[in-house]
Amino acid sequence: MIALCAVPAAQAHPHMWIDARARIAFDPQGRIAAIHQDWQFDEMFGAYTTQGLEKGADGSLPADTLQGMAKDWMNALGEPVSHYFTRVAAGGRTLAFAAPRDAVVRWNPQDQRLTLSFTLPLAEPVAPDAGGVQVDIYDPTYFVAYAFDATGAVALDGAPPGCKPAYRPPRELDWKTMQQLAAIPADPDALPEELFAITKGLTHRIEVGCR
Amino acid sequence: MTAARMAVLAVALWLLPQAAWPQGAHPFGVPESGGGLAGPDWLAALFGQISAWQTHFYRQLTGAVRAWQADGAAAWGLLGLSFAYGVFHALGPGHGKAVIASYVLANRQTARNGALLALLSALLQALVAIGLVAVLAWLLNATAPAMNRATRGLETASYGLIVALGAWLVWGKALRPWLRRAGPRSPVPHAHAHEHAYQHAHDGAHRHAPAMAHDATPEPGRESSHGPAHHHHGDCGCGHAHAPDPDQVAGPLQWRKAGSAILAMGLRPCSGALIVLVFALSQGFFMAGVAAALAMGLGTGLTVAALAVLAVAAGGAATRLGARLSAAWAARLRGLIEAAAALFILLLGLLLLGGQLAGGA
Repeated sequence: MIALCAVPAAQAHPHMWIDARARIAFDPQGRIAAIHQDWQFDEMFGAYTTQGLEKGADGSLPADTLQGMAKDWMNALGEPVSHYFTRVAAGGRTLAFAAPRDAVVRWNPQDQRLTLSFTLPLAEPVAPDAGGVQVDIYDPTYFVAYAFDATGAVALDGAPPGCKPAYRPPRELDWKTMQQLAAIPADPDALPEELFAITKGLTHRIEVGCR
Repeated sequence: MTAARMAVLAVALWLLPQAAWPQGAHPFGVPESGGGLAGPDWLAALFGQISAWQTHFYRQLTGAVRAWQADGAAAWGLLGLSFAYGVFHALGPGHGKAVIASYVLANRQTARNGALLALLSALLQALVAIGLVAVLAWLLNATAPAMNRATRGLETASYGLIVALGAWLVWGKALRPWLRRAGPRSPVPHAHAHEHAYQHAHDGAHRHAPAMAHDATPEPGRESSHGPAHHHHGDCGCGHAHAPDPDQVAGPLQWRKAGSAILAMGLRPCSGALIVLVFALSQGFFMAGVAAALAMGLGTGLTVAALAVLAVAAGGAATRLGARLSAAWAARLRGLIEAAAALFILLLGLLLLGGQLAGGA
């Protein structure tokens, strides 16, 4: 019993909700070049995160505050364990990202929601072949729950004719996977591949196929 | 007897806690109090369902705060949701109920005292959350990182207290009786001796608790130094050999003794309560957050109280199991349960504190 207790485990339930959108951008050669994402955080997170920050009369936040937020989050998301909560794979191989760009945080004082937008370029653009390209988005710690519920939440940008995205929601987390996630060290160095192997099927998956 | 054994097992499994994922690792900083879990399949499925319900209630809280703001009669909606959130929060994995139940077992508390401990620690937890947000966010207009730091400090203090409590109980319930038995003294039913030793020990231990409560960020080394400090107090030799006095076991809660357990559990505010409080504050309706936090505390407290009562029943069942064999067996089994419960608190505390310190301040 005590041995069981000693297993540190992943978060059992989310504490943040993100209404997400992903746009997969193609280059003129018809290759996937970047993933553009908008993450709209839930309003409780918005209220908590903006607490104590200096706001304008209309409740707006100064641009430099928002820029600082974007910078901090992108830095944290860039850690190997987070990996921008995104993985792009083709032919069973995980593709490397170049440095993210265009990171912007917007704050809507009316609905109290923060939105983080960023573009994650692939280090090498990839043309979807018969096997397609898989984009997985999720938080392995289950702290953040993503939802791609809005119409057009998954879209292609500048894709050649015949290319289509297909979205598949995550399956339920089972006990065995939970244990494997739990065994992940807190500060892993070479994590992603291992992690992605464990979390297969638990992600929000966008499958891009071209005919 | 199978029924009694199953009751013991069921309660033990339910109380299986978790160690939290070190929060330093997560990109988005909000105070986190829940955690993962460890246990068999059916338990994971159960916790999964509980967490789904918890999420269900939590996500409606924002709407409920607004509804109350628009219409006073809608207050019950928020209170009901918060209460339900508190119930499911307590049913899910978490170390609070494990420590309370173990404490109750280790100290042979009555069901009534166990329930009282659970309710008081939940109330304190709600008040700490309210106080933290009222002072930091409302009065001082502190930012989220500042509140996270304060929460983390309280967490560390709480975990440190659990370690101290565990060390103290292990000494009183396991080490000392064992040394005593190994010594020249005769094999007496020793349950009462612990009880006594314990009362002497708590004078020393109690003084530490308030000091830690005021210290937002105790040094890592300090907690461990508490253990040895108790030993001197525990060593005042009370070798009474008569059977435990029912009046004493069933007597009123010993406040000074129970205080550290309540403090250990109640010091660390629940993240759900903190976030709802800050949200209510952002809506210019702090009172709704206060009401929600108290309703959550009531839900959590009543649920943990029920679990504490179950733990008492299971402990009693196990003792009766032993009593079927002989009085000596009953005492031995009782002592074993107390020692195991004490050890459990210590290990859990070390696990939590270790995770906290490893996670980086």
